[in-house]
Amino acid sequence: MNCDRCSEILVDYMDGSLDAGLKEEVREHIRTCPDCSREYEELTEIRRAVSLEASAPVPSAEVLERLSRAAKDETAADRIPLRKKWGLTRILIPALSATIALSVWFYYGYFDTGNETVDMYSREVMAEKASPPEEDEEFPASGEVAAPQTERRKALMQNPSESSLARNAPGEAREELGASAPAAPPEPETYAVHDSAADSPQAEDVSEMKNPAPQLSGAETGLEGYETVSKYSTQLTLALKQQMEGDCGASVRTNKAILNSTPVPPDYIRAYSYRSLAECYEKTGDAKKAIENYVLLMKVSPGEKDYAESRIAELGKSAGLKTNRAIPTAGPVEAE
Amino acid sequence: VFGLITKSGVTDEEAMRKFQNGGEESFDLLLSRHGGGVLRFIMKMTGTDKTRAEDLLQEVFLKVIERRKTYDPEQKFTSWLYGIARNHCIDYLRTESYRRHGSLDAPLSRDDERGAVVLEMVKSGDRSQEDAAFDKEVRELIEIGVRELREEFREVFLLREVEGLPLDEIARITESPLGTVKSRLRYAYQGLRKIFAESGYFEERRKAKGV
Repeated sequence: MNCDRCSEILVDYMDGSLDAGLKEEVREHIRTCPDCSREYEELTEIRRAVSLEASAPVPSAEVLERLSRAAKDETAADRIPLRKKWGLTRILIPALSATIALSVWFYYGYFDTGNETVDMYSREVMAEKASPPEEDEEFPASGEVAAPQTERRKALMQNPSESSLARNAPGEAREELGASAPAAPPEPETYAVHDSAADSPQAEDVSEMKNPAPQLSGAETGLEGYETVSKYSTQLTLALKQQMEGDCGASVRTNKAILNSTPVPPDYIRAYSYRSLAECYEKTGDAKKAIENYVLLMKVSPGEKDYAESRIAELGKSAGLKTNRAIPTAGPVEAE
Repeated sequence: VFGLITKSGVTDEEAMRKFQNGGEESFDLLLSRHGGGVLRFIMKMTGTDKTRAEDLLQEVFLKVIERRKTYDPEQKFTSWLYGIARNHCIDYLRTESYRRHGSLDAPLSRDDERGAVVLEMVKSGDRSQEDAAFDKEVRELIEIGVRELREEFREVFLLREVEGLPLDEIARITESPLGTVKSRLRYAYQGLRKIFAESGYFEERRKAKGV
């Protein structure tokens, strides 16, 4: 072994991390070479000097306490229900759940069971299934649990193709391709917007949202309609975020953009927009517009009727209006 | 409160996992186990006094709290922790260097004067004086020597020789290949050896040992 090589592996030798053969070579070299012997001795001295280092300093109690408190606050924040943290969870969680439900349906409906499933939800087939309405019971949609049966049937009679939000949106997506759209599809009127998760937002937990179902982009599926739906979701998320941050002006603008876009967004998207608008107007003191939007919300989302009515009653009270006057009978739904 | 934590059976990784799941007392355990070591690493790495180092320590552990969900329990906790601390120190040194020299490239000037003082202290050391007093001077020499090292040599040396972390962990912390870590450790030793030699330390030691 030459000196360069010895010097190169001397620290490893000190560490005892060399294999037996190499270790023996170094030992032999040090024994016979005064320079390397000296180097070894000096490195060992340095290591000894380092080991004289007093034990680690102790951070001050103040710092420790501050950090401990910070950790407590953070973990406590984790446990606060989202509802309290965001205030808007009543909207946001249903919105996210709906998006997830949509993705799940889309993923499994389209890929796992193949074409049959897709056909099953086309307007033609859905229309067939819906008359007589009893037959529709074979397809209990996940999102409809909350909708009163009678109301739901009425809705189906009016517009057989729309039976649930989960089916609806991808159905529209397909139609936009013109692949299976029948002539003059009826204008969507009333859907059940609820999905099972939306009924109990408090039960939702952040952790449940961490693993959303695989989302497929339009490029992967070749269904541009899906991208449209996803565009609405993105805009909606923005609108809700703006509302959450207290920027009602921006939120109203975003919501209006959603509601005025073509093709007309699915009703569940419009429901969130109306609700967001209503809450924003309510917040900014525009009771009239707030009521208008609560009414629209009720129309596109019968499941939220109770909530909307209670808000309208509240607004009516403070504005000195008669609640009943504000609730029109069913009529054409206009975007804002 | 921190001295009372005696859950010695819990590994760092288990404690961190508990903390991820909302067990804030596990954070206290980790802080009590590693707060001192990280503080020492920060002081030596940045060459700051304890007060400033404690500010940095606080920032490091706040990052631990913030990023707790990103920690992978398969990873050694110390690798993760010292990785955060190391990056924070480097950021600090960059900012400081910029502040002092107006350029990120300007090297920190060598503190020759201070080295000479220590050299005098070592040389003039009365042989009859207690070993402890001599050792104290040696510690100061080490401190200055370490500060003189280039950043990338210094961090490897401190993590290995002061914090006692294994080389493969140091490779992960510094995001460098193991071979690079090994050679940096060697360069660090060579750098210190030069400074020690210049100070006359080895000579003194040889005399002391009666060689």
